[in-house]
Amino acid sequence: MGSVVVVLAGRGDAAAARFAAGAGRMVRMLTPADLSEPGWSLAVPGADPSTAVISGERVASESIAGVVTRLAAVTEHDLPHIIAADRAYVAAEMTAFLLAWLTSLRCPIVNRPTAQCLSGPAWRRAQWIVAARRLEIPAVPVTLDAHPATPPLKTADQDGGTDIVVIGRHHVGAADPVLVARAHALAEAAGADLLSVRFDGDGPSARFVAASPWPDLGGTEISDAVLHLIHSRAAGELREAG
Amino acid sequence: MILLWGSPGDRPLARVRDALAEQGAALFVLDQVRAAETEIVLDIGATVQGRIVMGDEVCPLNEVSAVYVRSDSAGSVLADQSEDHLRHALALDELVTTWLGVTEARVINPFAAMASNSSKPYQAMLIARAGFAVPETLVTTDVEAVRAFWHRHGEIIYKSTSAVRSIVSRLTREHAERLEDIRWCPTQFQQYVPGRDVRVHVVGDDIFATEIHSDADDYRYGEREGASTELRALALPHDCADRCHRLAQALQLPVAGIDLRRTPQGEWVCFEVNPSPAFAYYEAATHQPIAEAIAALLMASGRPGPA
Repeated sequence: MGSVVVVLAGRGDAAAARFAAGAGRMVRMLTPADLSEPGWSLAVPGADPSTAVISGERVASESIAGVVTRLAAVTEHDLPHIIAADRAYVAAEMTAFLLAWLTSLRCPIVNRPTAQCLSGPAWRRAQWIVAARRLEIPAVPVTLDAHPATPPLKTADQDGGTDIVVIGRHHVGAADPVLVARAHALAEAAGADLLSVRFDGDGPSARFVAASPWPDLGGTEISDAVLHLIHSRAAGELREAG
Repeated sequence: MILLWGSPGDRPLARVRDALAEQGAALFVLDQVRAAETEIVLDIGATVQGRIVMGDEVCPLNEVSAVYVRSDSAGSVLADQSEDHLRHALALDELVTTWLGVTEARVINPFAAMASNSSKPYQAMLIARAGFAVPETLVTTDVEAVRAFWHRHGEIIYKSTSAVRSIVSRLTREHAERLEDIRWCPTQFQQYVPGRDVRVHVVGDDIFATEIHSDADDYRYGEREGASTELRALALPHDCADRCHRLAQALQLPVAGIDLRRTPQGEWVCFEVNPSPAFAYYEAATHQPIAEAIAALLMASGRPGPA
C-alpha cells in the first residue's frame, strides 16, 4: 500500500494548501506547475506503473495511497510559467493527461474523475435539481434565460439554510436525519464520495438548493474524514487483493 | 420535433437537415450564427419546461423528441465578435448545454459521452477495455523515456493528448534536437502502426466503413504533403463490425466515427473514436447514406417522456 496522499489542486487553492499543511508529510500537494517537470511517465495500455513528479520528487504510482481531486481542469491561470500564447493549448494537454493518469491509478480517488471534470461530477444546477426530483427530494426551482436585450436573470443566493458535507458513508454538519439521508442519496446518484449539499432550511421539509464537489477541506473534521475514507478504502482494496 | 444545433456552414448538419426535410420531419434548426436574434428560457422545477425563440420561430422544448448536436464554440462561428454579442452567444450555448443535460429527448451525441475524446490516452484505455488493440503509447516529460520508447519501436509518431487538433507526425532526427522541450508539458508519443486506414461510421445498428488509400502520415492533411488520397467503401468483416458496435455502445455514442488501421498481418488497431464525426467528407466520396441513417435514428426517437 502506498504511503503518500496526493491532493491535486489549482494554483492558489488555499483550502487545499491548508489541508496538505495540516496533515504533514502524509499529504502532498500536486499543482499543474508540477507537470512542467521532467520525469512524468504514463504508458497506455499500461502494464508499467506510471511516474509522477510532486514538489520536484519522482513518485511511483504504487507509492500513492490515494488522491483528493480539487481541480476541475487546468486553466491558463495555473500556468504563469508557460508563455502566454501557449497557455490555452498546454492547459488542454495537461487536463487530458491528468484524466488519463488519474484513471490509471489503482488507489482510491476522492472524487474519481469523469471525462468532463477531473474532480468528479460536473453537474450544472439544473442537473442537480432534476436528480433531486427523481429521488423525490423537494428542490428549489430555478428559471434560466438568455435574451439579447436584457441581462440574464440572477438566481438569488439562498441565505441561511443547512450545509451537509458527505464523505463516503459519513457526513459533517449537524442536521435532520431526513436531510442527511437525502444528501447521501444525491451523492450516490452523482457518483461522488465527497459532496457539499445545501438545503434551504434545517427541518425535514427543507428543499434542496445546490451541491458542490468542492467543500472546504480546511476544517479538521472534513479533512480528517477524507483521509480516513482514503485509508479505509485502500485497506479494503488490499484485503480484497490478498 | 427534431432540433438541430449548429451553424449552416456545417456540412454534416446540412446533410442531416436535408435528409430529414426529405422525410417531412418537423424540424427546428437552432442556428448559432443567429445568436443576436435568439432567446432561450428554461424553467427547472417539477418538470423541465422552456422555449427557444429565434427571430419569429419558436421551439417549445417539451415538443423536442431528438437533438443532433453539431455546435461549435461561439467565438468561432460568430461574425460579430463584439463583447455583448459574444457574451450573449456564450449564454445561449450554456443554456442549450444545460437543457441537453436534463432533457428526456434523444441527444446525438450527449456531451458527457463525447467528453471521452477530450483525452486520447484516456479514450484509448476505454477502447482497449472494449476489446480493440490500441497503439503502444507513452505520455511523458522524460526525454530518456522517449528515447527508450523510440529505440524499442523503431518508428514513432507524436500528436496532441487533448482534443485540440494536431497533425500526426513521425518523430525524426530533427525533432530529437528539440526533445528537451517536452519537460514543459506531458507529450504523447505512439508506436507507428503500418497499414491501411479504415474509418467506420456507426449509426445506431448501421455500419459504414470506408477504406482510405493515402501515403501521408495523416491522410486528413495529405494534400499538404503532396500525397493523393482515395476513399473506397468497404465491407467490414463481421467480427470487426461487431466490435465497432460494442465499442460505440460502451462509449454511449449512438453515432461514432471509429478510426481503425488494418495491419499487413490482418490485425485491426483502433486509434480513436470521434464522437461528432464529420462524415460528409466520406459520404461525398463513397455515397454511403450516412446522413440518411442519422436522420432515421433521430426520427425513430418518438415523443419524449416527462422530464
